[in-house]
Amino acid sequence: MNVLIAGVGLHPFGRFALDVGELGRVAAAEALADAGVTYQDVDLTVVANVGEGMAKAQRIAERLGATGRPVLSVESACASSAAALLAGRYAIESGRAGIVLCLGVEKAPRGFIAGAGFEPWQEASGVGVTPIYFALQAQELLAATGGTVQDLAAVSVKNHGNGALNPNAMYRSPVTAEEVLQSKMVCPPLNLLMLCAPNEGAAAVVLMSTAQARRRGVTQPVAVRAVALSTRSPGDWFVPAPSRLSEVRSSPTRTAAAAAYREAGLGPGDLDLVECQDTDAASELIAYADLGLCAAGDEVKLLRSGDTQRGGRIPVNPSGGLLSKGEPLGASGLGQVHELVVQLRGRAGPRQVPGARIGLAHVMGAGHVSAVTILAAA
Amino acid sequence: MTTEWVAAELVPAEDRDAAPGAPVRLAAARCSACGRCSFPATGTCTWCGATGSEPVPLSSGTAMAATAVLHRTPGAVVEVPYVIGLVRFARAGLDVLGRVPGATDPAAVPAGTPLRVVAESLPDGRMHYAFAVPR
Repeated sequence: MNVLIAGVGLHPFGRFALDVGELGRVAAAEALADAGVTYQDVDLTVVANVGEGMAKAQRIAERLGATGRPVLSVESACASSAAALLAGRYAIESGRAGIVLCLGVEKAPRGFIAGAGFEPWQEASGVGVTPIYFALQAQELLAATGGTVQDLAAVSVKNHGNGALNPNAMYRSPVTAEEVLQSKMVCPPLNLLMLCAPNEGAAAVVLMSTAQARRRGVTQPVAVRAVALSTRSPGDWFVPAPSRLSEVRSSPTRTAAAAAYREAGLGPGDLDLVECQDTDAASELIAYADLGLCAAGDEVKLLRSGDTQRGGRIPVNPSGGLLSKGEPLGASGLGQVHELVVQLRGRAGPRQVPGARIGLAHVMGAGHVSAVTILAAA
Repeated sequence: MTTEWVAAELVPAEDRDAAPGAPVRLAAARCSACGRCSFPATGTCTWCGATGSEPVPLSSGTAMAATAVLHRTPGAVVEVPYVIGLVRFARAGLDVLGRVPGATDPAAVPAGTPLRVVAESLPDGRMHYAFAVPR
């Protein structure tokens, strides 16, 4: 693929007395400066956001200046950021845009995510609750792998430990397994510290064609090797569907991962690090198999091996993941891309994965949307 | 006077006069084109998008997994805590989510528990489907 990341920017994830436009402006300004361009140079802006209203992309982009150029809004629940990257990638590849700004930004209210696509009858009758889906798949994972709640706690301990080294994370204190297991029960087997918290933040990426980056003398570009986004196939099941097929089990993550590996000409064994959608502790384990890091059934075995720890064979969520960063829905995926770029440039400080050359980012959203991005040091 | 259901289309018309706790069926549909079942039956197949289908009433199944909701959520009229089961209807090849009234701990509904579909009266007076252990 002929698309490079020329610059990245981030507004930390957390809770802030800033409006959504300001959160976005901070991340975008940092990305533009990192790429050595101004907003006047940007041919297309793609804004990923879930919670804001009509013309949100235009209102948010306006903070950067009125250039008269196209501004698109993309919304794909927790995979919105990846949808922005997909749109940006297509625009560069088509030759219609030389420089694209992808901006993910969110100011999510506290607590359960409302408006996740449930019908009124689901909400009224008590099944329109996103954590029940995570809890049920966690129960099925534990039954299928012989895992225990201790394993779920271990995922949270790992990611919070990594997040303690990330100044952009919302929760920057390590936690113990006991603290995780004693935190408020939300939906069994998931305690509060096994679930990510919707929050606020922004992340931005400046995309360029290889030729454009060369012409501009961009330093330390990162190659976009694959961006694949999948929606539901028969047999997939997730928020907000009230039923699923009993057999023919597939997963949009498996489909997206297969497409991404094919496009990149790479396999799971080539990866140096992974940032995946740890909406809850079990979701990270499920992603291990869906992304091909292990065989189905071996998710808990892989965790227990220590391979996915920082310093392990294939570190997963060295940034701290959503469990410690929190999840600003529209920004989370570009936040992962930001982490990969920082790691591939060798600038991640105390959480640096030594010699990282190839990284994978994975997001999964309501409506059965999953996306896998593969980046490589150029 | 007919009973008001939260979503009447989820059960067949002939089941809508059921008393609270009495058996009812879920109105699933089998696609005439691909043979797979959908619930709710919206008129088009969830899986292939075709429009022709045959009704498939679902009356009893088996718990696959269960969890509980312990904290009140927006829009819900039911009291917490309550248990949610994922119930397999083997002949239809469908797993359906629903409440298991009376239970507060998912351990009360281990995988493999037989469950039947019943009518439940919600706190706001409306009827809805639920899953119950047959007596």
